[in-house]
Amino acid sequence: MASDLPDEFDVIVLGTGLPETLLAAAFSRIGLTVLHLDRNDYYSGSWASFSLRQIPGWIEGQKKAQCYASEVNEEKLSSLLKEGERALQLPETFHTVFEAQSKYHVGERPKEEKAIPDSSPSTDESAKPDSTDTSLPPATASESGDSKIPELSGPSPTGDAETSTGIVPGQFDSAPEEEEDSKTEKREGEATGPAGEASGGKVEPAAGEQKQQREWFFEDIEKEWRKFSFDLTPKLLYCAGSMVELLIVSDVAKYCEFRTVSRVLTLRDNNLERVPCSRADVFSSKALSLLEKRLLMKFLTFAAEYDKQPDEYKGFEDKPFVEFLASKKLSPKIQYFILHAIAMATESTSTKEGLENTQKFLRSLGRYGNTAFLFPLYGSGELPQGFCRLSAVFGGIYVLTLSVSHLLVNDENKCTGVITSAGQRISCKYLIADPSYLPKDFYKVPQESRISRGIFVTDSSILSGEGEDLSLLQLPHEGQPQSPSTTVLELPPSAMVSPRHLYVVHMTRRAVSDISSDLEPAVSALFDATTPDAAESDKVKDTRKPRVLWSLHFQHRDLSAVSRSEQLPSNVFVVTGPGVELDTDRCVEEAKTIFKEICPKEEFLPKPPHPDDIIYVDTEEVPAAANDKGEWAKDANTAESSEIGDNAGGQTVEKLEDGVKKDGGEEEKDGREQGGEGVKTEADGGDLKSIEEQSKEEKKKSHGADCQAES
Amino acid sequence: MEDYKYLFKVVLIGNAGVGKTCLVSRYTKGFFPPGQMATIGVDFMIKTVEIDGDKVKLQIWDTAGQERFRSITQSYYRSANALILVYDVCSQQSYESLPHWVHEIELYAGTKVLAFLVGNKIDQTDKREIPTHIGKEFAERYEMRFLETSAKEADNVEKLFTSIAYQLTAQARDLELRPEQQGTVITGGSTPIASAPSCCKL
Repeated sequence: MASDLPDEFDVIVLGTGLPETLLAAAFSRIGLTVLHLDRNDYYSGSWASFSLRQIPGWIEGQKKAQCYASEVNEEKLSSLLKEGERALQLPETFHTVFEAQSKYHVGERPKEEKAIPDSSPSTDESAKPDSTDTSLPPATASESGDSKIPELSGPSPTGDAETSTGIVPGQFDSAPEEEEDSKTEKREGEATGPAGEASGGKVEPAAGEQKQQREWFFEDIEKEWRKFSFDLTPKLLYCAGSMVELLIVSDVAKYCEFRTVSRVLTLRDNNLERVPCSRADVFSSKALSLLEKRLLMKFLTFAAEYDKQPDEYKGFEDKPFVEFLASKKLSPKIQYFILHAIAMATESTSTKEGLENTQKFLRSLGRYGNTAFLFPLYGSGELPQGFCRLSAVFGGIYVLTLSVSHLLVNDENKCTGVITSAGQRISCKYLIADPSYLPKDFYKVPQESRISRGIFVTDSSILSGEGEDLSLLQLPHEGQPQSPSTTVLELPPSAMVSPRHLYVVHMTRRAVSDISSDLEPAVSALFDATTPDAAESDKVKDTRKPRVLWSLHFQHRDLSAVSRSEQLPSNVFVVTGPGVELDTDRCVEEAKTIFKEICPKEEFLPKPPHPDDIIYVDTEEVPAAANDKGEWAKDANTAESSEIGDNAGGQTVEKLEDGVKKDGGEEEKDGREQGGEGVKTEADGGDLKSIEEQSKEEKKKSHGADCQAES
Repeated sequence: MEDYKYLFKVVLIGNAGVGKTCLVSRYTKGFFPPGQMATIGVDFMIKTVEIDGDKVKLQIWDTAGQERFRSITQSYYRSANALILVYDVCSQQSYESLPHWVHEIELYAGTKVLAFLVGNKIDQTDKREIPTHIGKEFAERYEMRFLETSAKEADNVEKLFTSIAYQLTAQARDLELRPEQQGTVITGGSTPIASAPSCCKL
């Protein structure tokens, strides 16, 4: 199959992580021939998203960490070399992921359940503990690895009530409550083991105001495996950040859809709160006193334009941001809000960085509604794929499950090509690779560190609101100012990463020790780890914490700060891996820098021509893009296509805006019930923008606001 | 703002060389490209049709050559309203690859996607390797609709896309009438947009 590959390319890219894909797209876009390989059978490498059933295979693969299985022997290899070349064998294994293990925290559905006759009359009665048996049933249906992970929730049932049609998630909501109570409560009482207990403390208040919590079983989750999309590296996009800018300019935005991060939360004194960010939020907030509102408002107004008032923070530039905030006579609560929920900073962040972050946050607000962040529907793994698609549309050739066993280097220490794991020699002018493909002495890792990651499927939101919220929470670890905070991202089903009624929660923290202790503070703060018995005694509790139904833990080697070493051939470029940061803007800058070094005069991902504006040419007249000439952009075909792009530029911009409006309108039509809120959001955004005195030009770009306005 | 009522995303899959691009070209541009067409920079093609008085826009996506090494991105399948799996009736190999494509569909496409199996190149009668009934049986087994076409002679091409437009429109109207029956993805009315608020395209 892979033998049909041409023997020569301008650029070979190894790995389909985000920075690599940005570069592959940028090179294809200007007419260079690009071969893009990935050793895995999936796209996006360390940035990938997986369905539930793909996780065990991924874990196995990470244990082996095999880079390639070479089909080349010494004899064959030497026959492929040209004069003055030597072949450098690439590492055969590369470990980036450690201690990965996934686990179900629910039991299997008891078999006799369905047959039990209904005799329980009411919620009240059935809510009494029929059974005090807390012995753990064989809950873990698929457990891999040892049992280092603390038990997050008793495998037992949590559940307060279950609908008679509970197996069919789609019908859950529509079942009348009374029916639910009478028909289903009984089952809990009678069923053995996992379904044995009902927690009365929660059922009663829940029945009225709260949504009934259904009980989940292994089968319910497993059968929806396709609907899960678990990001290895969940990332957000600042609405005014460089990734959003790039998506619009390059038109990759048309391959993706996004959902806004609707809440930024803080956790103070065991209390989860929504942080007011926009002007309207601040005014309507019940969490703040009148004085606090004024102080916060004043500070945000300053921070939005802090660079114009250097006197305000003179002397603090390199001091910690916390000290600067303290000097502003802000209340502890406001200081906390600004530090952890707006600047996304820690106690050790410098004032300059803190202010920069605050400004970026504020500028991002209002562009797509009352939020500073976007999340890609179906997960962050969609972003690299979007750029791969763009590259392919412009002739980039994609081969998965193909790797490289040798680099060919000439006597000037330049890379002349590669030997693929299938034994083919392919020449190239430039090579881009993620560190896992390269010999260890080709790059420097300034400080060896890991990132602890936890992915949880839960049965409710950490803070139930009116609708489905997508929430971001920075969780500092109190009393340990130097300890890295945990970033928590809660994704609702509408983010298209989980089936109905289930949430996916991502936790990310710079590793300080082993995986289970790193995330333990956040896990115990946010999730219900109580046994049903303990819950029973806790009757006053009016809010219920989510229960964990499934989890995946792993540590990831942090390769976000790799840099080139002296040994690296000058035409080979090493890109970084994902780090702990919230967003992806660093990758955009990185890709731009490498691109400019290789093609100083070319534009980085210019707007492609609109499909309607493309003139079709027969290959017999002009060589197609998959040509083997590929002399930069000088080739007739590519020159023409870029010309089309230029001519059509203005027009396509218009079209993009049209398109956006249309989507907005349709969105409105679809989400009818949201109409009122949409209008309000728009007003909020508008307000804040006026604080910032954003230029009209920027406002014009504000598609989000436009589309909301139509409502 | 352009004037249309519905916009549907239709994606094409199938082995390289079975005539996917030709089908689209025949339908949207009205011609059969004689050589291998330069598909550089072509993401999708658009055709607007009228269904019972409503303007319906079909956005037909091509594989961008990623099918050559079976490296189609998952995101290609996302939010497709209809999917056309093409094989070449003169190529046993392209027929034998169908299970691979069906597997991809099951993994990545939405459960409610309208799927068509299309046997192309029926004009080459002397070279035919896959009889009609074989293709039809395969389609039935995987609950797909079936059609044989010739992009060259324009046989059934119009019928294929019109039928897709017609069925998707009917679905969309149905959803509008009974919005409470929506699943997690609203396919009606537009490029699919999640039912939730504040979902946006840039």
